[in-house]
Amino acid sequence: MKVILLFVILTPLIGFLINGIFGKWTKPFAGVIAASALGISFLLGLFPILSVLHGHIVEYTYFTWMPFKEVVIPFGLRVDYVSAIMLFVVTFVSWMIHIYSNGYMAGDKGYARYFSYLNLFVTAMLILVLGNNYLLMFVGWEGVGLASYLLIGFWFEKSTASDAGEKAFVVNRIGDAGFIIGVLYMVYYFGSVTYSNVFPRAEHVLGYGSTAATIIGIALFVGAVGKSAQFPLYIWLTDAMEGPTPVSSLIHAATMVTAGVYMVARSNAIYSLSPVAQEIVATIGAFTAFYAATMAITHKDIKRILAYSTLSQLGYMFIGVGIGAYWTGLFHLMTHAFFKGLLFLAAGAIMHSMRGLLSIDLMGGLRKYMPQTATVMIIASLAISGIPPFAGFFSKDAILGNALEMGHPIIWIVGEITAFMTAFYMFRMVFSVFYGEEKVEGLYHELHTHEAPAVMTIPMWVLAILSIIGGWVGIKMGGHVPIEWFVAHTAPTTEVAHEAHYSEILLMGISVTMGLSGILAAWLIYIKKIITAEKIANMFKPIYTLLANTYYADEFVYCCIVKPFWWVSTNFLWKIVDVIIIDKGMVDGTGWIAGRVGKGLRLFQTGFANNYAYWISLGIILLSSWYLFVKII
Amino acid sequence: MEGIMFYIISIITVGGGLGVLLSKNPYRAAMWMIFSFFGIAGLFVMLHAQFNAMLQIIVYAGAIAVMIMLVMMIMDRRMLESLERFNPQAYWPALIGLALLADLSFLAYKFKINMSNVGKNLTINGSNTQMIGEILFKHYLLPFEVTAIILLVALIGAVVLTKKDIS
Amino acid sequence: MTGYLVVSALLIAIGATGVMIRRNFMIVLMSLEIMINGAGLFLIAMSYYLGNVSGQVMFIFIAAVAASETAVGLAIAVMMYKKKKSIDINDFSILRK
Repeated sequence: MKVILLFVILTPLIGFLINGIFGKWTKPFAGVIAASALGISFLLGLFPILSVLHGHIVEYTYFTWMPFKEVVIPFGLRVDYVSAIMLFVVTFVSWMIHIYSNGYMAGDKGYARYFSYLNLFVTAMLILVLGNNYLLMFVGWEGVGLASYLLIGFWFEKSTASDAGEKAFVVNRIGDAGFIIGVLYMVYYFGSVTYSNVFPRAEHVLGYGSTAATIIGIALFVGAVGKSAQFPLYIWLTDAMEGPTPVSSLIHAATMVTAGVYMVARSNAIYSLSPVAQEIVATIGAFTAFYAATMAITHKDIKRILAYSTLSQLGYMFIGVGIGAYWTGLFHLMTHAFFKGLLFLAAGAIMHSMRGLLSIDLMGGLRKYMPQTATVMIIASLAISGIPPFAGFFSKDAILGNALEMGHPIIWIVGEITAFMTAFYMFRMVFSVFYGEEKVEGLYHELHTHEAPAVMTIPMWVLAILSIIGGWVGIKMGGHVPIEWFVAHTAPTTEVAHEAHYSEILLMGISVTMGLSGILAAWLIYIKKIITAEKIANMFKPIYTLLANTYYADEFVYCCIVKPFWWVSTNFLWKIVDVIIIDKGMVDGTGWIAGRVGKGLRLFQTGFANNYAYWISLGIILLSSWYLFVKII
Repeated sequence: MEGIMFYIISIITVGGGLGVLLSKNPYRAAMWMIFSFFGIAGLFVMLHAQFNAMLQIIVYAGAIAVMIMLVMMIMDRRMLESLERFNPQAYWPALIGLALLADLSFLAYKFKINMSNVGKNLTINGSNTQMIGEILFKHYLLPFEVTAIILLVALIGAVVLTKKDIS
Repeated sequence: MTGYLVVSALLIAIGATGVMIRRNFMIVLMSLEIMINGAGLFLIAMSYYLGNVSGQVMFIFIAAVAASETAVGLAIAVMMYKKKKSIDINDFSILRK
């Protein structure tokens, strides 16, 4: 088992090395290599998962990574009830997307490079998930950031793509700083960063409600905000859509951006000690969920709609882990990985057959040309809208139900409104893309629009099936919910003093009503056209403009952060510090002094090697005499 | 017995050094130098530094001496043998050398250290090599790596110097 | 102990004198080797008398540095020979420029 667990990580790494080093020669079958590496990794990963299902947590230390005097950091891997879910989701969804990429990226000139990056990403993600301490998680954390940067800027000839990559990298740095601070505080308080050492002692060392727990919790959450693109560090995620669509699906929807949720669930022992930190997590989650959903309504680019939807769903997950019901967050993470991965893959299929066109204004009636894509897209949209029996219903309902029961009625209301908006914008997209008339006459004929090849549709169908049945682990059976029971072994739900009880049927009814009314609203506007979208937009012109420009967040960052920074850099750091102090004072000054001294010393430089030897010998004599007379005699 | 051995080997060593200093023919000087290196290797063995004795023979008497000889072989033999032995004004530097000798010898004579650990801690399981390995790779790993870089730099420098045609 | 140190002092002095008074660059290089060996002998002797193996490790580093120095020195000799057909150290003063 020890070797198997190691090879779960090593197999994608080997795939990365093969495609990365020998990419020139492996190009024709780079995709096959990468996908089979992931397949092997997934199958090997099943062994530790089965072991966990039988109640044995798998943890091995391979070697001591950093032996400091008091803090010893091992390189160890751990599969427990939380990481088992992540391991399954990451390897399985990655596998599907690798297979899909074989079709999507066919013919691209960076074919081997693409797959080597993709394997690198999975390696880093698995280190993040399986590492048994925070520092190893940080290695994976940075590794996925790097892979994300490389893949966003995959088509680096486009300046927008490389700029987007840089933006993602820079914004993530802010979050990473928070993460490091959190880990350093942990080293300070615990003298260790290993999960099995820190968590059992957390209550004893920090104490319930202590400032230390709050600081660690908030610092770690800053890291999660960066990586999981929560407010206010969300701005990189929509630009990240410049990368290839399977990348958006894998990294920026299904796996990497959920790392923050995983990390909060992982650190449950610390968050459960700090109600303040929990409150912050849940509030930011709820705010992002609502905020992002409003922006998704106005956008016309399929991938951007999905990106905002991802932000919104990540917000839900943070509500789940923030209220202390960690299992709901992880549950939604899992179902979201299935249906959002699927949505992006379907968007990729559309993009593939539309030669890269993405605007919903150009489409319409696409159902006839791409029946399979249309079907899976509708399944995924139903799942995200929270319609039973699709997966999203169970997880979203679990989050909102728990939020209400654990005493957060405002978050519940925000969540329900967001659920309505989610259903609305998803079906706005579905109806305008797949139903109705062709908006541009003859466009499809000209582009030879056709159904995607089997290598792309099969992974979509697999994810579609999981988007349906993936939520059934959340159905109450024999008195307890299977996934709650499963996760609670490692991440027990925080206990609250006054647990309110509401009728579950009523809550479910409200959730379903919200979803259905969202779909109905979209149907009325985009199919029945009882009122056109333009009219509504004109009615609420200021709000519409604000939303369509994404609250001017990028402009705000540019004029309030980038510009002043630029100004300080130019006028102070460059013109004063660099030119005057460093160049004139230090660089030229040392040169001037050296020149003066050299002029004097030149007299000694005869050029005869023997003469130098005289001086050296005299120096030795002087030194040894000094030693002799001062120290010994 | 050990004292006699020490004197014999010392005479070989110092004699080799004097040979280098005084011989006019550089080929002979190189032979004297090798002679001196072997003497030093013998002293190392007496000081329980078996590994370094081997290193001395392989690196100095082997590699460095052969390298010097090889370079001399590509040069004009008559030119090498026809060079003046000493500098024109060799008296002052010779005096400096003598002063150095007197100074260092006096220092050696006066030098006192704590003698409680003589000959200890030099081996693990009777192996000097293992002890050096332990210390070298545990405590001096970074200097060791830096040494590797120095060797690389010297290699590149030597190649550049001999390749380039300076006009 | 004094015996070893005196031998070491002798080697250093001989080497230094050789560097100072000889004209043949090859012999200057050999004198340098002798000097380095004198220093090495001192380290090994101290290692033995202090019971600390670090001195021997230092000697390994010295051997590496000496090898580098010889390589560069010989390269200079070859270069000068190519240029001036002579390895008289007094001709090397053109290196100053």
